[in-house]
Amino acid sequence: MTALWTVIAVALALAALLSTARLFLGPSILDRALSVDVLIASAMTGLSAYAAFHQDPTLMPTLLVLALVGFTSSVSISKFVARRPEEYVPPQGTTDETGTGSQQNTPDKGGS
Amino acid sequence: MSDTFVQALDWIAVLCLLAGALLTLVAGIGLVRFPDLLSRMHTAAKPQVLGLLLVLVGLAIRLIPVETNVFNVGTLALVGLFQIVTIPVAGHIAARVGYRSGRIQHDLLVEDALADRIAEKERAQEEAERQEEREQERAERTE
Repeated sequence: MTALWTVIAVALALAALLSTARLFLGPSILDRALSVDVLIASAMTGLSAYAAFHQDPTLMPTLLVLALVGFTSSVSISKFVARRPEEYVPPQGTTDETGTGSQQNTPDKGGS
Repeated sequence: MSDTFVQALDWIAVLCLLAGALLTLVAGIGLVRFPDLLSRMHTAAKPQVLGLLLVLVGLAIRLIPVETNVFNVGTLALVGLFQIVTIPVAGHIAARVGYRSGRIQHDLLVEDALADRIAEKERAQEEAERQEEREQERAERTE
């Protein structure tokens, strides 16, 4: 059973690392907001796994607060983006170095 | 409770937690590998709802032998409920803003129902404006 607990911890750590990578890579601000959401989800999973491992219910209020407040970040970022319709969009074929521009103009990164 | 029963409960709890952790890992991999915002949102929703619910069930099962307080299980149910209520709100708003501000690769979409709706709305608006202009002209002519 110890091996399973180790697998759980390693999987959660890897997931947090990968979503941090997406947080750095961008390319648009909504992708970053999304990766913050996944980070929050993995933090909640990690807290639950810790509580389950120690059989300790002390951390449950933290879980409740995270479940209630976790979605505000991506909602407020989306609202902030929606209020700025005129945004810097780089010309076709160039990469977006500001990290705020449109995904359409960047070449296909990784995956399918 | 007998020892074997507690051990069986522990195994079930660990398997639930393992499934939740693996779903989170899958979401991380999908976030890095998928090409555009909508497909990333698709993969990001897995640990936020199903993964977290599995983990909460595992935690509740694991707490059964040591915990007699009913409120703790109630707290877990509330966590799951709030997560189910709030995650679709965030996803809906993010997807809407992403579409409206052109951060979506349209060639990756299989079907785009929103584009038809937007075109229809714009056509109706233009029609209304033209009607208004015609009425204004008529009013000027009668004067």
